[in-house]
Amino acid sequence: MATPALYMNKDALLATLIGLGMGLIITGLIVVGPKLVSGLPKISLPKVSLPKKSQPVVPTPTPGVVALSIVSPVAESVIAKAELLVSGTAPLGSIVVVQGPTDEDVTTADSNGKYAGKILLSEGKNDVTVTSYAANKHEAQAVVVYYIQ
Amino acid sequence: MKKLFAILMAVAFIASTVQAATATPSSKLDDLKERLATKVAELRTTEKRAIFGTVKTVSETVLVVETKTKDVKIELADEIKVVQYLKGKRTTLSISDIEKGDAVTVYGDYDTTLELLKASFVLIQSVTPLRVSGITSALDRKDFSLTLSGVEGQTYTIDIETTTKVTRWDKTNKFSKSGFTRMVDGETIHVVGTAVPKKENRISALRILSLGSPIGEVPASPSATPTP
Repeated sequence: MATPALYMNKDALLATLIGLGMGLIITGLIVVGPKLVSGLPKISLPKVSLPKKSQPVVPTPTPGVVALSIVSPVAESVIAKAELLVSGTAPLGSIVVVQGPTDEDVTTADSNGKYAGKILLSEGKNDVTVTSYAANKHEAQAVVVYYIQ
Repeated sequence: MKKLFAILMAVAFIASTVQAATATPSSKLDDLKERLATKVAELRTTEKRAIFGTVKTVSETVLVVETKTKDVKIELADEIKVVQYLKGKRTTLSISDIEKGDAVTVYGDYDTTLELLKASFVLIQSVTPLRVSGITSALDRKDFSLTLSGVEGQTYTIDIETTTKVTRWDKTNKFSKSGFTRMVDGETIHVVGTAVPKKENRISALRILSLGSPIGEVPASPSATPTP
């Protein structure tokens, strides 16, 4: 009858000893661990550099390089009104002279290089001339339009 | 028997009426379609166009005009309008008034396939004034003339007439009335005028636009020579 009780005591004793041992190990690691770790040689991971995605290079527009052009009217076009609006592009800030058969208009190209001037047409063939005066540069363009009443 | 005959007659009458009623819109539609197709075909080959040139040959029905690039054959319709400005007044003329060597602007329907212009309007044009621009020098206050130097090195003598209109432009005041006495050497000017007969590079000024000194040099005049 005493044998099972003895076995039970042996088991309880073994469990107690195991628990005590594990507790001692954990305590030892807590107390001595940091000193032990600092004494070890440092291990560093190799540095790997991955290629970075490069941003596309957008060219910055250089101001003042707009060439003189007559956008409107189109050459050889037939106009039904005597008053004509002449527009186009010219170097930024340049003085633009728009010449028609009966008068002239003078204007300045804006910050986008755009200009517009009004002239009066005479019946029939009309030579429309545009001249721009910018610093150290001047240009001239001409178109022919027809005014039919 | 009579009843049967009457019924047959009635059926035949109704059938013919129905057929007539349905056939008329169909034929009209076909006719309209045909006309529309003809008009579309016409529009595809013709376009409104104006040309300028010198009359090479002229007859009662056909005119040949020499343009800068080619000779254009022009068909003269009966209802054509011929106009010329005489002493500043718009005068209506006839086809017989068009002469060889006249500078004309012709407007009408241009057939791109046949390369034929069906004219509805002809304007006999006067000589186009000259346009020159450059920098002033050698202002002669007694002779009322000045020398104009263009960028291509060509020089012109500009005669200032009593009728010459001189305008000055600057960024502040924009346009202002000016005169020969206010002009100085080194100004950039645009001159519109007529060639002085028998004197080379001499222009009688109709109007002058003075810009002061926008920059050092002046561009070549794109229309420095008269167009016929």
